This record gives sequence, structure tokens and C-alpha cells, in this order.
Amino acid sequence: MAEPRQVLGSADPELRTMPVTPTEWRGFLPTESGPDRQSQASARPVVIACCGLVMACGLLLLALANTASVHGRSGYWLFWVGLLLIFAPAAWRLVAAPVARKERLLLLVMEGSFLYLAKVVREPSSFSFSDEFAHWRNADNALRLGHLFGFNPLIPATAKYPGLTDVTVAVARLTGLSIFSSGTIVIGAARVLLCLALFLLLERLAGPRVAGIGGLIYFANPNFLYWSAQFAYESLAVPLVFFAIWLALQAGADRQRAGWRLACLVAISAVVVTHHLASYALATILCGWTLAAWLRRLRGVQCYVPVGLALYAIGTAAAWLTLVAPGTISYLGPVLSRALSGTVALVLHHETSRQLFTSGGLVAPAWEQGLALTAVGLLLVGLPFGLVALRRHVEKHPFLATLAVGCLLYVGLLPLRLTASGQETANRSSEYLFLSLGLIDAMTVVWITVWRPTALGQALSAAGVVIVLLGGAAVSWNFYQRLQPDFSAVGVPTQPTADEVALAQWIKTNLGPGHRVGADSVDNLALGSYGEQYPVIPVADAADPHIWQVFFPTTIDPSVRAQIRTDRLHYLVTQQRLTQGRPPSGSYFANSEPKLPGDQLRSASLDKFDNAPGFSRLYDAGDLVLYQIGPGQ
Amino acid sequence: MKLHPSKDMQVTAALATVCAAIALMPVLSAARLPAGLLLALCLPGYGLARLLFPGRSLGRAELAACVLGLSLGAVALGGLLLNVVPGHLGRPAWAIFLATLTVACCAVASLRKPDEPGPSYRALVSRVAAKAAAAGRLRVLLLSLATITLIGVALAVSVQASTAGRLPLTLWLKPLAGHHVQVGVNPGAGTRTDLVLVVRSGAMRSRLAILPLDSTHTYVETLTVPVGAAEVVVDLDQGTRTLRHVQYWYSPTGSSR
Repeated sequence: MAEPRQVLGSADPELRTMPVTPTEWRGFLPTESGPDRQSQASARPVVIACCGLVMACGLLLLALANTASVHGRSGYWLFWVGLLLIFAPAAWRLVAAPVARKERLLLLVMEGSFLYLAKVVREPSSFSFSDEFAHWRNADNALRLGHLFGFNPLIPATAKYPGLTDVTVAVARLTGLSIFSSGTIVIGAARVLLCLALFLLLERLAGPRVAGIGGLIYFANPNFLYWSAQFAYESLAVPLVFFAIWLALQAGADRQRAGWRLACLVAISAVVVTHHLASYALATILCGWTLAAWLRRLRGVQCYVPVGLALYAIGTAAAWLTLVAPGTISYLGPVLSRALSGTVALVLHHETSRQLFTSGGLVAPAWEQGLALTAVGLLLVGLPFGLVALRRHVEKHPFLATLAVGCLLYVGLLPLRLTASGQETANRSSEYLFLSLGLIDAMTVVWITVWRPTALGQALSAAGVVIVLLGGAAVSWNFYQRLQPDFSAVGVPTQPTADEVALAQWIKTNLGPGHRVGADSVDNLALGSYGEQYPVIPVADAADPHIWQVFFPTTIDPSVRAQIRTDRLHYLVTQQRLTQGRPPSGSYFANSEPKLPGDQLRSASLDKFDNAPGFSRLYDAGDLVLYQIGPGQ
Repeated sequence: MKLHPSKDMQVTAALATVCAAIALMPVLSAARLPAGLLLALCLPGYGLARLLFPGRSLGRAELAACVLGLSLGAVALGGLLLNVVPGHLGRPAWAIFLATLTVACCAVASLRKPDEPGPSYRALVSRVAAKAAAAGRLRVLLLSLATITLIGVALAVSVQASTAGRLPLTLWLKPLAGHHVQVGVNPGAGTRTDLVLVVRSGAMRSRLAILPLDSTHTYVETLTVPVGAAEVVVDLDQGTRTLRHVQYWYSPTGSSR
């Protein structure tokens, strides 16, 4: 790729450093979207402010949808209209031309920020997703103990990647805020970094117009709305990955490379100490780029080979895995091996163990299914055009070859969504693979708008982008869990509520921390975090303690007592609402539990501890009860 | 090399020092929030960016990305360092570390390649004032205020929905040393009236009427259990209904665990 020209000496700082679209691109991207027209267009603050106002209206509708849901009314359509108001303004402006670079960047950052606030308004007073409780425990350990790597009974592997804990604890210590507030701010800052890094990275490759649209398409990845906005280590690591890639691209384009390289080393190191898979993904991307560049060098073409950065990424990730976090292998191994076995079963025997759009026995509405499939279809249809156009430029910049492979990998992993074991792998990989999709499909969108430069052509292109965004939201989360439920009416709980948190805090205050407690999977989250207890749970299917054997029998028979002794339990927590149905996850206590008669837990199974000598009933909150196990049990 | 201290390096270093001092104040003040956020999420990254990219060679977007990214990276890595030094992850350690990092980066950056001559502060202020006075800025300001207001309303609506009336009525029992137990009633949401605690232990029977409770009050009572009693049972009744029930089993010797 030709080095970007820098217009030095200009009074406008934007022109002074604006990376121009390389001359080679002008054969593909017509002059209407070339740099001259971009630089002539000035940002229109009133338009940006109007877009922000419309997005804020959408956010308010999401908050109202959540409020309606909490009070037992339907907020379903309010939710979708709210999302549409957040998506539409940015899609309309980013597809339009000419729009100034500054405006594109601001719109993308605003879009990403409002989508983050969409998660915040879902539950603004405490964490509610299961992984968030594990990371809350890490931060609480660090604040309480004063050091890192404290024991985490919920997800032990997370304690070995303290990047998120460090930043959260720093903010909490310096500002005096709670872990929840600090964590919310940290992930919000990471979201802003993601938007900036994404835009700059794509702009380096294909100019600001493709960068804006490509960033928007990235927001359509299934994990973007809620998963990558939660307080979890990957939510910090992925923005740092894109930041590192952008720094590496800058190092390749700038003759004075030392600064960019050093900054990239800092970013790579931060990724390694923050998340395992993100560090492996970053190392893989850098290696792919190195390989493509090296092959180009063999043909005698001079280009930048990021071999030093790739080796550093591999070395630090391997060193961290070996010296600090060897337990990561047993944590990730079962997930990857299940994905592999599911793939083999799919390919050889055409076995599909999962039904699309179905969870917990509930099926998503038909229009959502159609929307999601249409979105995936649009993404796939756009790929060939973009890849064909990209082919001419892959020779000129090896990193594009890496992105092209990413697109093909996305297509190859799609069938895994038909398997229960491979679905998670396909889903989690989309956070990285959508970088490729964003670039390729954005190029197709730009081509369409140039081919049909009428208002209708632009409107249809913008509508296509909005459909892709809405389709991504449709598959992002189970449709019945997108809004907070009416907790007084909900059957089997799917997340800890104020009841569970109150019980956990009572145990910590009155009985002390660190007790071994037997409870269902939802109560364990509160007990292991706010309660600072040791919930006895299987971790990644290793060393399954068979806790269900304590709860499933309807009488306190010798097997119950034997399991209590084996698990060395001090306390038990029973939740009567478990008897109202089957959890969406399919299990009450552990993945290995057997199928119950009638496929449902019975009240007698939980009531058996009442009035039983040796099982003291210490806490009664109606449905939620705590038992202390006496000596001799 | 002759020293050419840059104004913004001086300002950054001074700001880092002030923010660290505010963060170390023993009293939790409103100033700690912005000071802490600047010190954790902005200043270290700015210092590192100026150190690594001397001269005004970064655009605003690039600088913003570097400030945020390098701050997050420096703090994530800095925690590993603080983990092994005395003071660990305490507030003084973080404040001193981040302020020192920022000041050191600014000091080294100001010793390197001198900046391109930029506008004076007076010229900068004049330019900002001229832009603010330009036509259309008032509309932008009003639209921005409306946007921020809507965001605030959305958050307030969500907070109100998430915290309204969630906790249930709770009865709990905590065994104490000797022959005592502590019994508590948390009323949860709303006001509770006509509540009665019925306590049974051995030959002892007692009824304790509880004053009306609302969500701001918790009832706690310490009871003495007869020596030799095998258990103590406490029911929370309202009228003829038993709303909650707790029970504690003593060992056969009659002593509590």
C-alpha cells in the first residue's frame, strides 16, 4: 500500500494528518468518494446533533420498554422501535455521500455509545449477566485482599487474567465508586476505544467512507448488543485487540515506526493479561499478516512484515499461559473439543443437535427469524462482490489477505450454529470475524451507492444496513430475555435478583465468608460474588461434584447424606421457584444432572430439609430458604 | 540538547499531580470522581502518546484513541507491578503510580524533539470563542442539551424500574454464643402491620408483637434459649397466618455450635 500523504503546514489539523485513500484504490472507489470530495465536505454539527437526539429518543423507548416489562406488560415493540431509532440515523448518514470524515467518526462513536447505553438501561443498578458476577468477585477480591489472583469459585480461569480487574480497581480506588459503577465506566470507555480503533483501522485500509459503514456492519455481530457490553474481560480485550491491529498498521505505514511499535507492544501486552482467546486471536491475525507479507516478499515485492509484533504476541501469550494461567487449557479444552466433535458429527453424519431460534423450549417469533436470516443473507450476498474487488488490492497490502481469510472462515463456521456444541465457538468468533465482514460488505455498499447514486439507491443501501443491524440484534440474545422480566411473576429464575443478593449479603455479614454452599446455578452467582462464599459448582465440566444428588431425592436418604459429606457442605440454599418449570439452560444445578421424572423438580425435593434434625432453617424469604447443615450430616 | 518544555506537557504533569492529591484526600468529595477518572483513563495515555509520538503528529481522532487505549493498557499492566510492591492495589499506590508515570512521560517527552510552534493560548481561546459565536452553534448546543436530558431521563426511568419494590419479607435467625439467638425481620417493600413473632424452645412459649415496619426499618431481637433445649423455632405470624418460619437445631448436649 502506498504511504499516505500528509499535508503538513495546513492550518486545519484534520487535513494535516488525514490518511488519504491510496491512489491504488481510485480504480475501485470512484472519485465521488475519493479524498478530495471528503476533504471538501465539512462536518455538519446540526445534523450530528439531530442524529444524537433521535438516538436518545430510541434509548428512552428502550428504557420504557424495560419498565413495561418489569411491571408485567409487554415492551416488545417499544424495544424494536427504540433500536430502529438508534440504528437508522447513523445508517442513513454514513451511507450518504459526501459526509466529512469527522462526522462519520462522531456518528460511529455515538452509535456504539448508545448501543452500550442500551445494555445499561436494561439493568442500571447492578450486574445481571452470569459472567458479570464472576468478574465482580475478582474485583471484590482485589479490593478486599489488596492483591490480584484471588480465588474465584465461579470461573477460576478469570482470576488469572487480571487486566479488567486492574482497571476497575484503579477507578474504584481513585474515585470512591462502587465496583458496579466503576465497571460500567470502564466498559463504556472500552466501547469508545472500540469505535475509534475500528474506524481508524478500516480507514487506514479503505478510507473514511468504508470505515464508517464497515464499523456499523461490525455492530451487527450477534455479540455486540449485550454480550460484549457486559462487565467481562473480553469486553475490554476486544477493543484492545483492534487498537493493537491499528497500531501495527500505522507502524507499517509510517517511516518513523518506533513509536507505533512500542505502543503496539503495550497494547499486545495488555491483551495478553486481559483475555486468553483475544490474545490467541490477535496472535493469529498478526501471524496471518506476517505470512502473507512474507510470501509477498518472496516474490520480490518490498512490504512491511510485522514479524516482531507477531513473535511478541505469540511469546507473551504462551508465557502467560504456561507460567501464570495453565488452568486455561482445562477451561477452554472441553469447549473446543465439543465444538470439534460437533463439527465432525455434522459433516460426517449430518447431525444437527440444535434447533435455530429455539431456547428453553420457546421459539422466537417468525418475523424475527425472517429478519435474522435476511440479515445473514445480505451479509453473505455482499461478500463475493467485495472479495472480487479486494482481490486486486490483496497483492498491494498483505493484511487484506488476512481479512479475506476471515470472511471465508465466517462462512465456514456458520454451519456450527446448527450444533449445540459448536454454536458457542461460532458465536464467539464473530467478534473478530465481523471485522472482515465489515470491510468487505462496506465496500459492496459503497459500490452500490456509486453504481446507483440516486436517493433511492442510497435509501435502499441504508435500509439494507439497518436490516443487517436489526438482524444482528435479533440473534444477539434470547428474545424472552432481552428485557428484564417481572420478577414477581417469573417462574424459574434466570438471573440473580435482589432477593438472592440480599441473602448473599446476609450470609457474608452474619455467618462470614468462605463457606461451602450447595445451591442452584443462579443462586450460586450471588453467593459466589456478593456473598464471598464458596458455591460448590462444576467448572467447565471438570470434577463435577454432583451437587444435584443433594437436591433431587424427595427424602433425606443415605445418598443425600453421603453427597453432603463428599462435597463438605456447610449450607444449602433452596429456591422454590425452581419447581415451576424447567430452566432455559436445561439444568438446575449442573450440566451432568440426570433427567427428572416429569422433567421438573418437585417441591418435596426441596421441602425435605424442613423439620429434619440437623438441618437448621436460618433464613426464610418466602421462596428462598437457607439451611445450615448440623454436625453429623 | 537545549530544553524546550512544552506548555501542554507542563499542564498535563501538573494536572496529574493535582488529581493524585485529590484522589488521596481522606474525605470522599465530589472532586474525586473527575480527578480519579482523569488519572486512570486519560492522563497516563496522553503522557505516553506524547512520549511515543513527539511533536504534533497525531490527528484528534488518533490522539483520542491513543489516549484511551494507552491509558487502559498502562493501568492493566500497572496493576501487575503494583501487585508485587508494598501497598499493593491500595489508593495511595495507584495515585502515586499513575501520577509518576504521567509526569515521567511528560518530562521525557518535553526533552525530545521540540514541538512545532503552535498557537498561543490567547489565540486558542479567541478561536474557540469565534467558533462558538458562529451561526448554528446555539442550535447545536440546544440539541445537545436535549439529547443529554433525554439520556438522563432514560437512565432515571430505568433506575426507578429496577429498584422499585423488589425485596420480600424476610425472617432470619442467627445462633450466638451460649444460649442466645438473634432473630431479625426485614419487611421488604411496603409497610407491614400486625406482625407477631412466636418463639418456641423446650418449655418456653412467647409471643412478641412487632411494631409496624416499613422498608427503612429492620426488627432485631436477641432471645435467650432455655438450657437443654433441643431446638428453637420462630414463626412470623400475621393474624392466623404463618408468613415465615425459622428453626435451629442444637446438638444433643444442648449447646449451640
